[in-house]
Amino acid sequence: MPTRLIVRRLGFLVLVLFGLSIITFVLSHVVPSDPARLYAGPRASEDTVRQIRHQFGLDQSIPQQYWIYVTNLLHGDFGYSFTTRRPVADDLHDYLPATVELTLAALGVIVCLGVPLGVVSAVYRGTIVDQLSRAISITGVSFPAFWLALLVQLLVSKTTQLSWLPLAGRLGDTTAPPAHVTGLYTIDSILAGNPSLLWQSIVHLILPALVLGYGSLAVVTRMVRASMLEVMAQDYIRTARAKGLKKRVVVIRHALRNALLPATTVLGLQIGVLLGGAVLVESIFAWPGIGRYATLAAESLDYNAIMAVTLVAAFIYVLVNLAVDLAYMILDPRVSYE
Amino acid sequence: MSDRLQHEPELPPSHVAALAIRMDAGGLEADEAVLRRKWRHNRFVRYLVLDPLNLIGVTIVLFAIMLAIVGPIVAPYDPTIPDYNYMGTGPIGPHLFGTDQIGDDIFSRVLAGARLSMGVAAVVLAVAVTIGLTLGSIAGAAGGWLDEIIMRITDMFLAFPVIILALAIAASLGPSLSSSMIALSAVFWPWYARLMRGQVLSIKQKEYVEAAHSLGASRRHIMWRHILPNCLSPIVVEMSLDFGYAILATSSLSFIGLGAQPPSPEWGAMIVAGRDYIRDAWWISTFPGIALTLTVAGFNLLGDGLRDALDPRAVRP
Repeated sequence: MPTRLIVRRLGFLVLVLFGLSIITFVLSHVVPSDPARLYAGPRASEDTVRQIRHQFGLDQSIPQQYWIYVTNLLHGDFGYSFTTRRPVADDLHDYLPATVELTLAALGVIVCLGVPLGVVSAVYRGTIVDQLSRAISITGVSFPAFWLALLVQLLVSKTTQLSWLPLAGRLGDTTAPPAHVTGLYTIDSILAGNPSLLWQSIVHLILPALVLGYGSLAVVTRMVRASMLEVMAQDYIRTARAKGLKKRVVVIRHALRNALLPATTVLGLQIGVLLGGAVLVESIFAWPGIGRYATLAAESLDYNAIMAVTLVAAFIYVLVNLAVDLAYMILDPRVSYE
Repeated sequence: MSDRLQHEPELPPSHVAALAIRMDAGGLEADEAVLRRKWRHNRFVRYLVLDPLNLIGVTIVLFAIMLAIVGPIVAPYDPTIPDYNYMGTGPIGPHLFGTDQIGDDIFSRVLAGARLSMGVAAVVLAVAVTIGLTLGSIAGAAGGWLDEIIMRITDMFLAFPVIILALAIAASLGPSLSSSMIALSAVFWPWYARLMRGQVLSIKQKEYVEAAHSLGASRRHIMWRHILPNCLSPIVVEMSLDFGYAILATSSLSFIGLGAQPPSPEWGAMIVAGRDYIRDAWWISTFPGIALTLTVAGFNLLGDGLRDALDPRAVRP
């Protein structure tokens, strides 16, 4: 692993984070005509507004305001949310794990469905199976996630065989969550050694994760299909077939292993799509994550909360992609980023 | 020259021969362009019409465009004037798709929404593509510090998940359909800037550009006549895929409450309006939902088909 390259990527990361802070600063402090008025509410007196403006440093020059903003950010201070009436950092601490859990579950859905669909399409390319897999994945990217979520809820509520699937929340109303370790209920309930709680948190994840993952299925299916086709045209695949190996063995052991690597980069990019989709899916399934938090904040134009979610989502996205790139370099030494 | 042709095996041998002969006679780029266009034309037919899914895509897109043009004219009712005799009635009687809780005709609203939703997407893409192509080609052509600055700004925008950045921008501008248009243009342009820069950089290296240089063509001439026209295929593909995505994103912002406001017949806003009634009056959000999903699917299928038709390296058979 070239250390210089990693250092350079980390340097670039700092630059990107600096850029992110400028963009959210401009959006929260410069574009809105009067943020202080929004904090104070429409009925507040001019005096109160002036006081708030002073309290949040909004009466200072733009560079000074930015300096205060960044210093606060670096101290983990995202400001105060006037919808929840708490520091935004506390809200994030409570809501972020739910989103992480949902996103990971959706990623699981994508991998479990997208990879087999892609492989099947590649092996039977041009046939009805291929067309069918393309049709399935196209419907995924074409459904508005929030409408699909509504339809799924409707379907489940009207089908008696599916009535065991919960439609909202992370746990039943009367169930106490496991002791907070990671904040991911599935993992925390394993750590607490509580199988019934684990089962509950898994069933609550099923519908939101399916809806969220379905939207990204197409991209992964296509990528796996494309890289499978590329690998299947290689000489060593022909050799493996020629020496009499079964088709299934060749596809799974020889082709798939080599085809999955390029597909992992696509998975990294999908994190961004999933985090965006979470905003829509969480609010339908009453999933208490940062997506629902952002929607609630957007309704009342709570800038501190909106910008904090924006920053955190971008931060996660950037980090995940950096990690994917580095992992890719380790796994495939042929890749050079110089 | 012949080396290069061998590197592009997609061009049929007969065309390669014809190309070689004409090149000897001079005037190579123009003829190459003509031949490539002809050949692409055949691929177009093969990919877009013969493949059943692509054909479905083309049909849906043409139908949706037609609806956007004539929809509001053929709509039987005014989309925002309620019929108080039929409030929340199902798809029977005089109202084909039923009416919503205040008596607006859903069918007319879906038709009016076609123009609105697709119009918004068209404006968003027009703005994003103009900004993206301009900045991308400047970055690619100029190189050096200008390239560095433009691309670092682009990277910063690309570091945000699309919907979340759009949400932040739309919230910052205040909820309205025009804020969501500005927000979406702001999140789409960096993709085009990056794509365009890559295209310009790769085409700058081509022999025909070098040939034009050595023939004494001006930089402006080379940019407009040789580089830009050859950059466009991937842009067109991206636009077709993004058109669907822009419609979806517009509706998502409406869902969050930052985009079109009721009683606007934007499809996303209509789905949201029917959200609370979905158990008893499924038609209120289902018909706009179907219209939206079908249109987006059409553009996605078309984009996929165009990618296969325009990109010779595409793996689809």
